[in-house]
Amino acid sequence: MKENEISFKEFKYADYFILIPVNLVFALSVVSLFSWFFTTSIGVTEISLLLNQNTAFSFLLCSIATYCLWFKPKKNWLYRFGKAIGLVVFSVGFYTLYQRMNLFPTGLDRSIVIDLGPPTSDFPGHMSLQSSFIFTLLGASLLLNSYNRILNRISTFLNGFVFFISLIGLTGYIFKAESLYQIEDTLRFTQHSALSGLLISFAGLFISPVSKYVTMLLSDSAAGSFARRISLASLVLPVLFGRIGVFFYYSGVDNSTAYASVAISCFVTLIMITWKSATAFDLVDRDRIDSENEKLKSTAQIDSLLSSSPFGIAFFTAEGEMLRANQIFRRYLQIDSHQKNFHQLENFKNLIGFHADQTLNEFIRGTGQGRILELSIEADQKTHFISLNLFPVMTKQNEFLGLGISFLDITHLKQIETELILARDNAEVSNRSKSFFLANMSHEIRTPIGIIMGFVDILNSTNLSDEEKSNNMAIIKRNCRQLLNIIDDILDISKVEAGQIKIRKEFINSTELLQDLRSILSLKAEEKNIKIEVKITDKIPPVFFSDSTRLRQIILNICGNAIKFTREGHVSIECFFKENKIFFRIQDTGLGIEANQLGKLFKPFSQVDSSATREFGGTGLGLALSQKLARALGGDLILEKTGLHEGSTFLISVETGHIEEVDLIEGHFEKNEDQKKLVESIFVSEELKKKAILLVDDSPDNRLLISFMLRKLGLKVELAIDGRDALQKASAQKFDLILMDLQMPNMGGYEAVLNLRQMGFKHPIVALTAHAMKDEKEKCLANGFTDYLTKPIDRALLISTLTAVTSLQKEATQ
Amino acid sequence: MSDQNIFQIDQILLSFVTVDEVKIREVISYDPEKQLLTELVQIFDSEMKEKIGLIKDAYASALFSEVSKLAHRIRSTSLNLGAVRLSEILKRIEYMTLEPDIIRTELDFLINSLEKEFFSASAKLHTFTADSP
Repeated sequence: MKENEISFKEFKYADYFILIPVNLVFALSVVSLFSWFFTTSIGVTEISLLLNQNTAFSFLLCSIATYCLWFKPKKNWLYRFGKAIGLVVFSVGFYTLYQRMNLFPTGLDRSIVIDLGPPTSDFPGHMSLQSSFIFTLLGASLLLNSYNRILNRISTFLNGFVFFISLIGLTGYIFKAESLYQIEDTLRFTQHSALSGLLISFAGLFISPVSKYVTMLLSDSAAGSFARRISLASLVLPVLFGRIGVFFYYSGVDNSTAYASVAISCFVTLIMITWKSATAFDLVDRDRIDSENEKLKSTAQIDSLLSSSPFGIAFFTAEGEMLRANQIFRRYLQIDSHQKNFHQLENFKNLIGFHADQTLNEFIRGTGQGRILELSIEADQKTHFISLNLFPVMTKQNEFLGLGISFLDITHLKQIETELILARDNAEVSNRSKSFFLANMSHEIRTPIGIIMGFVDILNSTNLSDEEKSNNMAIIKRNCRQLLNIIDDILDISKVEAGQIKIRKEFINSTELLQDLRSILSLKAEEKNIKIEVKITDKIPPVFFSDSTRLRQIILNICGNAIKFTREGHVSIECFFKENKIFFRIQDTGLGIEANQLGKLFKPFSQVDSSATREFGGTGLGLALSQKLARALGGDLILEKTGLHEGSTFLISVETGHIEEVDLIEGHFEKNEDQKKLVESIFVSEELKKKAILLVDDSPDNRLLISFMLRKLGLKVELAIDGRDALQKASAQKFDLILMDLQMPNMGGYEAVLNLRQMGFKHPIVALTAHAMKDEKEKCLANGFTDYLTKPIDRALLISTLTAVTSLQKEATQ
Repeated sequence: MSDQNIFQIDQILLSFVTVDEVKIREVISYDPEKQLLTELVQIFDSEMKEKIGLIKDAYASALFSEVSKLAHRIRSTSLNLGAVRLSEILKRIEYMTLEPDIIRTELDFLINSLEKEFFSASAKLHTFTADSP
């Protein structure tokens, strides 16, 4: 029987199968010997002499030996003692048998025990042939009883033979069949000897049970119970039936009736046995079915657990045969659903780093309880990261049965982990950058503040001439402007990063822009004796639609850097137009940038030279901010070319809006007063000209001036003097756009807009106000206005705002 | 202290020109015949006269919010014709009358300056109009 199999427990009275017969034989032997030794003094009769002295002595030894061998697992010396006694018993039996077979009475036994019995035999020992034979067999059986299975089988066989001989003798006495117990004239196999032989051989069968039958008799199972009952019945019933037949025979009935009575008894008994057997087998079958049902339920539970588990799970034998695997496991390891043998086991072993000279069990148990590995595998044409758990499947007795594998797809977790690591690294870099930025800012802000404070002290404490005062004030103003620029940059980049930068597009006169740039940059360049060149290298539109402030900020930033980093030579701005974008190429002959510094060029809060002893100051925001602004204007800022001591070339591009049928300008760009008007008239689209505009203002001069501007450009304008008038006109006539003053008598702009929106007016309404405060604009936008213009109205701004809001309206309706 | 503040205000106001000629040229650019400018100057004269009178009355009655509204209304009129100094005076009146603590000495100075500044601006504007030589 394998250790991992479930076995039946031993029958709880199994020990009595040995103890009762052995004790009986021991008692019978002791009584007999006692009678033999003390018969004269205590006056016992012959009847008390149940066994002759040799036989009683031998049975006593047999019973003691049986005890000893039964205890053999517990005490080794008892086992040896039992074997020694077995040898004595074998010697007595064999010696006596030898005398009987060879008619060679030595009389040795009589010198040990005085013969007090009747001289019924010439042979010594008064031991019958059967007795000496069974002692020879019992002695041999005791000697052969051991840990060896084959010897134990022989021992059991010898015991069984003794049991059979004894049974024959006892049966002879029961049925008065003399031939069964007396095979010689003088000595017979007494009934007590037969009974003792039967008992001691029965006990001997159970010392080391090897026979299935004997094992079953000791089993606590239904079969064991059944076997015990049937065995008992098979011993008792034949005797009983035989006695019934004898009884009828001696009652005077004829032989046929006697035999018939035996047959009927057998029939009834067999029917009962059959019924009992059937009932027992039925119970066994039911138990088996219940057990199988339980097994099915258990299997179903395990299957549902496996199929619903997010883990891939499988079990393998030690040889690699797959016993059970769920779908996830099969899918990930690409195993066919009908595949029984895990052919990829070799590949799998390679995958997990298994060495050829290792057994699976050694590999798995390398760390004690199993192994957890993280692997990447290819499945569904993708790389998956899995956390693999290899664990041994063991019995309670720690026997290795096979391999259990479970894994979880941790690709998503790996991605998150990677992202977290990246985010952490970025945060650390960002933190370092911001620490550097704060240190740098501290320096950049403190410098102008220190200068301002110094010159304020000078102005307060000394008598200065007007010229000196003027110079000092100029220095203070310049430093204030520098400080303001730094703060503006910080605020701008914060807004850009937060996505809150507002782009306010308007019409930009290209000529004016270039002239302004040349004027501003020339002042700076002259201080360093650097030449500034501004030229149009290809045709550009005379006017374009973009955010003038932001564009100037970008160009001045790049040009400012170019001048700052150029010690001698020139800085040039080349302007050209291509595919609705205007480009500004800024080239300098300055220091240039090393290739290994290019990576951090456009990163905020970083500078190419971030050392404490750097020659050139700055916040490290300029390029990053300029690039973000250029992108916000629909273009970009890129570094075209650079090299250490070779200068740098940056290219700025911004969207110009859709430009068609405009005469592009080229070459020189001289100031032309009429050009602005021309351009503005060009950009008032035909679509805008079709719009009906309502101008609402209580000031007659505003009404006159603004309406004049609009009509001059070909637009249709109606006038209203206050909010109430506007409501009446808007309900009587359709307008595509309303220009509305905020402060008016009767009904102000906010109230009018509220009413208009409630009336369902969905077209743009632009606020007109003399308030230039920022919160006023936000208030307007929050209260239903589409946009906001400050008075006095700039014509170009008015047109660009009208163009912007009507195009927004168009996009919204589309 | 108060006199010093008034002196400072006066100095600041003096840094603004009476009329910004660039603005005048811009208006003329809309209508080279100067009809538009002439009409705007006429409106300027009439509106300013009327509203400055109202401002004075309201100020005398301590109706400061009314003063603020009136100042705001004519500020854009002055800006339309480039009367930047007048516009600055009006702006200061507009904002100072909205303050919880009214500084009467400064406001007195500004209110009193209004009429004088209006006449200066008007005179200057008339030099640009169509009927001017």
